[in-house]
Amino acid sequence: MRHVDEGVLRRLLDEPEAVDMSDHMHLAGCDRCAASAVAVRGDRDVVAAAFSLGDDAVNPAERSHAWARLQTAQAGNGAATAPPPRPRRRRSTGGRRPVVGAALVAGLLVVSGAAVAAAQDWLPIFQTRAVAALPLSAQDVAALNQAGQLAALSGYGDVSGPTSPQLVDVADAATAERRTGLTAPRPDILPPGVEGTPRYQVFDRQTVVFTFSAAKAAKTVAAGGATLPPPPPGLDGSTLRLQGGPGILATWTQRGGIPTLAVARVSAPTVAGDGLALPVVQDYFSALPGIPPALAARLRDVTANGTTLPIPVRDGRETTSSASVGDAPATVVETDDRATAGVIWIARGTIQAVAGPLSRDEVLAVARGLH
Amino acid sequence: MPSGRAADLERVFHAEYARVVAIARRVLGDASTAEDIAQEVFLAFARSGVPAAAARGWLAAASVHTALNVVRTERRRVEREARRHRDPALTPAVADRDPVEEVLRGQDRERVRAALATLPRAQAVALVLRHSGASYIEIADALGVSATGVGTLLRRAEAAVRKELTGDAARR
Repeated sequence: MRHVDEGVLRRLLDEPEAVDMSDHMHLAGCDRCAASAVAVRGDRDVVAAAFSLGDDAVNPAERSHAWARLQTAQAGNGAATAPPPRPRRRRSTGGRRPVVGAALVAGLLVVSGAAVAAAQDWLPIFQTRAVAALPLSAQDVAALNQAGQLAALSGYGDVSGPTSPQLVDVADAATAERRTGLTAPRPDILPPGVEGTPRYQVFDRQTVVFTFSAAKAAKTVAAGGATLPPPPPGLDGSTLRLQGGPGILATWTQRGGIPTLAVARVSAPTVAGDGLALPVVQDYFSALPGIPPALAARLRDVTANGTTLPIPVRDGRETTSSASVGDAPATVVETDDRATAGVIWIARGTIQAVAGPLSRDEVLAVARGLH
Repeated sequence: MPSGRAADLERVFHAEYARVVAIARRVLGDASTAEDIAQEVFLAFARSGVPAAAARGWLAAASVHTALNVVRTERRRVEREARRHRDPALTPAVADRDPVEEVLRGQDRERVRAALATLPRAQAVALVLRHSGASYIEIADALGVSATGVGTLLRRAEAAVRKELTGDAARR
């Protein structure tokens, strides 16, 4: 069997849409390549954290001074004229350590549809499992489409609509509320090390239409070395309309742009079919080659009532536990190294999520004090 | 009113200065030296005749190469000094380090610099550019390789840097 090259695994982390579908499909069913992908990601995360230590934005005053300095150097042919003195830079006073486990932050946000937020960091987690783990269960598909995972979905049909939600920076919470009609999340308390004014971003309601194509699906599956099972009558050409958002994301960062806390509030995604019962679609996609039957069964169980949003959790890297936020049941996800935690719950028809390089108690405290 | 070329330079400078500094900082871990390198790079750009449309990629590549040259030259100097004094732990003096920053950041920075100094040049360039936000296509253009090859360069570079980071950590 040809395994996925490590250079391709590396690109999957950054530009999954540029990687062949056959590699995606192979990875979904190959434990060896999945293990390699974990190692590749681990190395990337460590290096990204180390590089982030040197990051520090240039402010406009520093840039203007540098421009004057360059002009002086040009005028003096760069030699005779002494440049103006460089302004003294601020010194760091430390702060929270960089988020090596930022994937979890993103993982929670992808579920809530605010995916593009945190970074490109976490997208590949779902990209690698997009075909295997999220086979058109209603909420999964909506969440994945919100997350820009159409490269995978487009292998099974025609997709129209935005390929990823456009997160737009807004000036403040009030502007975010006007744009979305939602109440912007405002924590009562911030954990130690999280400070300053958050960056507010919003995205509008997204609508994506997916039309299943048996011919495309057969070609995609064949590229992975398998055969497409015959689709049930009426599936070929049937359409699903996926909607999600609007949403608001508030992010606190330390210098260098490393997120220390992310809070999201997003209207719950919905899926509407054009006649076919969703369970029929779901059963069919669950049976596609490359999708582990046990995983498909678990997905069916979780989404059986059509109202439960499944939360992807990576075996061996993250653990979940139950909690409550107000009257709502909540799910807490922690990375096994306890470096990162997040909590997600649904209140008043919106998905709410709090995550960061924090402890379980810290994210719950933020969640419980959220307005 | 500035000439067309001068206007281009000013526009390019304001658009790209922060990025050029950030790239050099990732290599050097030092803001002041990174700003000096940015000056050097923009002066070279002003003299080069490179069209403004090609400035972004040219400046990024120039910044990373110039910063790597500094790191490698410095490393060779430190090694010479260390041999002379028979002190393998000798490192360049930095006068104004903040103690807290030193604890949190300094050691990792030194290890990253040490790793960058020993990586094959293409790997080091790919690594720095990618972690500065360049796309695979942009990196491929800067290095004259295929976009597919960029993934391989990055994978090898990150494995080597991680080894340097965790290996040193284990020895402490």
